[in-house]
Amino acid sequence: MKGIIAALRDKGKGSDLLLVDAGDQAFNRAVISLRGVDVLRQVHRAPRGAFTHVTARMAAEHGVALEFDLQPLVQLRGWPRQRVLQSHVRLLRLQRKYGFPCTVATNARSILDLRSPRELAALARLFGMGEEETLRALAVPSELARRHRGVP
Amino acid sequence: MPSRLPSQRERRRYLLCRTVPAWAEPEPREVFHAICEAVTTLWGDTGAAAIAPAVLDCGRGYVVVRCRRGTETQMSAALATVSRAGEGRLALRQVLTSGTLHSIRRRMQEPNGTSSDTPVVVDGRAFTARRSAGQKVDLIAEEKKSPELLFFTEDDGVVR
Repeated sequence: MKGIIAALRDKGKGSDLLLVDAGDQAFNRAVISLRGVDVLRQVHRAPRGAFTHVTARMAAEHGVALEFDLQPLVQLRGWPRQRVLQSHVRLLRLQRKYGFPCTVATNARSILDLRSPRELAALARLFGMGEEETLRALAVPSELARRHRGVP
Repeated sequence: MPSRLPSQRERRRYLLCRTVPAWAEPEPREVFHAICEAVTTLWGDTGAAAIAPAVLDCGRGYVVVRCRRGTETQMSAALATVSRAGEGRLALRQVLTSGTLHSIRRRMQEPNGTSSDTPVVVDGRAFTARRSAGQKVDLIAEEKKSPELLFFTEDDGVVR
């Protein structure tokens, strides 16, 4: 938590986005309530019950986005991928109910990991996210950056 | 065996995919196995049987994949999960979905922004320049033992 507060202090008034890896429930609630945190990521790797309806409501109130990581859907096979899909389905249900912003990401480290918007939509459809929802989620990071810059 | 009437034939869809990296020349058998593995792990054996994936053509930076009509969305999702073929890493970018091979072949013949290898000398060293689709130029050092890959961007015009 100290590292995150230090990162928030260093974060200028520019267009930087602050993305935080999710942890347990107490950590997530604390992070979401911090002013300046933009995206909570890797929620599927957090312990079960780390992101509940209470956390979802807090995320909606504070405008913190939740990242749907699509890389495990590409890289993993078998039950680990099933676990990630289950997690994404649960998070998407919360997102639709509470309306917090969400993003989709491939966390690409090379051109081989990149996927086109059409492919992202096909992957997101696996856990029930529609094409329009995917395209809206793709636009969220730039909207968050614009919010920091103060551009209307 | 007499051929069936067009109305009696099974409806198929053909997907044209571009291989990434552009210079990859994977074996068709390896690509087929990679696609079958992706389809089966994602949709199961019954799903794979319904999709009936097949690789019709593989080469020149393209892969032509066939599936049953109505299963294109499942096939697209499965193709997006392909990350390697054989020993090498490979990604398939979907370019076109069509009901006829004619339009697929016509699209394959269109120039796609790639050019043939051209020799380049930078700081006295010989490189082969390969321009891929997009704005990237790759320079591959012409050394037999340890070819070095440098990235030459349009933004700053320097070798990185």
